[in-house]
Amino acid sequence: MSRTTRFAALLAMAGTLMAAPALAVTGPAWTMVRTEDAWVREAPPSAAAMAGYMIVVNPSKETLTLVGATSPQFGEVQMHEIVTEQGMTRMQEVKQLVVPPKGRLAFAPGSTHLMLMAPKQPLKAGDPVEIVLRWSPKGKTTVKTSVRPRNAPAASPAAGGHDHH
Amino acid sequence: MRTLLGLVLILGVGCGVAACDRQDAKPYPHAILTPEPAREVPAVALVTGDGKPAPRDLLTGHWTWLYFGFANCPDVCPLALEYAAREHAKLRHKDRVKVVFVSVDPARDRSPKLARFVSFYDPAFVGVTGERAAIDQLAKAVGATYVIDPPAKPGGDYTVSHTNLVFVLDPTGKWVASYVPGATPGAMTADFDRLTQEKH
Repeated sequence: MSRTTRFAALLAMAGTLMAAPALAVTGPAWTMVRTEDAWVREAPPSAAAMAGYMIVVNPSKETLTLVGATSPQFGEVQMHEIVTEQGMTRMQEVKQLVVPPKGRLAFAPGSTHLMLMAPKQPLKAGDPVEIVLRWSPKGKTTVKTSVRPRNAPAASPAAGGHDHH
Repeated sequence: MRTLLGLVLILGVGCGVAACDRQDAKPYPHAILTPEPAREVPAVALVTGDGKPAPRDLLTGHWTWLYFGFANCPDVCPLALEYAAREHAKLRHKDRVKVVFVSVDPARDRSPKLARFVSFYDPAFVGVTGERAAIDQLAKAVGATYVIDPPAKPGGDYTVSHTNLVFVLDPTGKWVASYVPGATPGAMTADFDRLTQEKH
């Protein structure tokens, strides 16, 4: 090992040591995640699937990877993106989504959204929905939201909040 | 002087019915596509979700906003139907425009669920489906396409890819324009208020 590389290795180690106390203060990056404007689109009572939307904000300096979601009100939650090819619009499941450092990820109508499948019971406007985002390699963000009536102005923020596990 | 006024009036009227129509090459200013000439749409046998034949005048005798989708659609179709409902609600002559949702997923939507889904957005909206051949014939006439996506697991849930456009048929049942749902709020209302005002 040349002197230069040894020095670089030392520097890297020092970097790790210096980073450690910072982590202890703030916790893992996923604990800093917050969500905005979460809502679930009202659907007919017979709907087999509903769509969930929110903006996921990553204030940390790390890239965060979302690997799925669950909801106690639904049998299954998938992440879907909307792809338009040759004039056809298609929903396509995505297994993971990245939230860049200091960036955000939008689940929005007509775009990437959470597909809430197999409702355990029919949901109507105002009913609470909890959505748990799962991070890789570990971590969860719980988002408390509700079903928004379809005639509500799109700009009105849904009742929302979040906490961490 | 009177002759001159008469001449102006004649010219004015002439412009109103012929020349100005030619000048105004876009009768559907907000449409993304207007087929030239307007295209015939075949009369196909469709059924409501509960299996009753759709009325013969489903697509004629009034303007029709036609959409192809499926009732299990959680995002794209609801957005289009909400858009259609908002535009339709603001129309000056609502009764002259019928909104028809054609399910391309008869396997699941030949059920009372179809009417519940469609009427959820507006009780006046009509949901129909039918034999694959009938749906295909209608879709082909307006250039709509769809694909039933294979389920991830055999026998599992599946989604449907489909054209996300509102097709407009004139009262003779011809396809005259297509709109992108949601692209411009108020676009369809504006175009149709103008049309129904001019053509009565």
